[in-house]
Amino acid sequence: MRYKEYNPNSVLEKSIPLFWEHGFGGCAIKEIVEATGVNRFSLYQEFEDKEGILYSALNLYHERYNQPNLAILKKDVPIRALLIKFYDSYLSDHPQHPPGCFTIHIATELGDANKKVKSVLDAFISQLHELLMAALIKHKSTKERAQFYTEQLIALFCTSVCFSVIQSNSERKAFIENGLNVILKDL
Amino acid sequence: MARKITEDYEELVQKAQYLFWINGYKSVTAEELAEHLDVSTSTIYNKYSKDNLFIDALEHYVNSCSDPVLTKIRESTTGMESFREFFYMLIDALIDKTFPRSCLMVNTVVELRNENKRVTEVYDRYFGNMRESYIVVLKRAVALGEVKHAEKVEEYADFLLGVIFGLSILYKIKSREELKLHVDAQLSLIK
Repeated sequence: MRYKEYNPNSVLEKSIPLFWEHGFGGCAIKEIVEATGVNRFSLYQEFEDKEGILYSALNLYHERYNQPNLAILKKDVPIRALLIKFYDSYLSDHPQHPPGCFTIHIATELGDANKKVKSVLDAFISQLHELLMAALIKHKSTKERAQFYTEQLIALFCTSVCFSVIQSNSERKAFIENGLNVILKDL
Repeated sequence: MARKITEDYEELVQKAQYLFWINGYKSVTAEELAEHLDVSTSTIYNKYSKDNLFIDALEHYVNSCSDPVLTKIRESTTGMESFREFFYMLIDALIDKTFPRSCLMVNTVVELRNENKRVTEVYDRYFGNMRESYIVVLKRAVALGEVKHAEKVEEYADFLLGVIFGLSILYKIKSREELKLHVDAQLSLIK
């Protein structure tokens, strides 16, 4: 018997845009079978069920997409330019998937009732919080002010990655510019 | 076929709204809708349609949840305090699950984007009225001397338009108190 003749990560890469496009509830296992060419039995053997595929997809997304985007915040760039670069990494048009953030997208759908999704959201926001704090302190904010700005910048992030899906590229940019103008005017 | 808006139909729309609010649009099947509304599946297909029920549920949200509170803050006499009351009310609705899952409009934006023209028309009306109402309140806050930068009213209105999106995500991981402090902090940026 041949076992696992496919790469699970490539299944996940193909599942992310499906979940993203149709939502978890709106995406049938049949569509994943069609998109990946892996049969239902093999998928269930590897991931247990559709939820299992989602959790692994969220982890893969975090490693392959969130981490490099978050790493931008560690760069030595003036704070405003740094933040624009970071927001842009989520909001600019992408050939494979809609603009925005898959983690936040799935959390909007499932983050109330599903504890695993909620903890993925929590971990992501905590990491974002830590990195924003570090970046602001590096740019000479006091700890108290950094805390204040960080909260605001996280809200702007959550807002823009949701709002972005009905905005044009230039509207997204303008929304971020405007948000930073309001939040950072004393910085 | 013209849809007759009767009391019975309104009741159906309210029930359908709850189902869409919890599950979103795409994953709800005609069978589930039929069961939840206590009508036959063929009634859903031939008489109401999932699409029409959804649009009417969304309209119902605008007319009964959003527009009345926006009218209230427009007609109030306070400035920034109107925003505080408005956002605190939203936080309570989210945490107490008066809003069963997040804000229905935010859910719809995230799930359906601009895929359906009739839905997009509801966004335009919803966000248009929200922005206009925010500007009315901001101008009052300027008149009351709470906001000094009269020239920034539009900028502030766009910023505040995003607050419901942020709250609709953050309430999943933050407490009522944290959210209220968060709103206070957001409003403190406007001066």
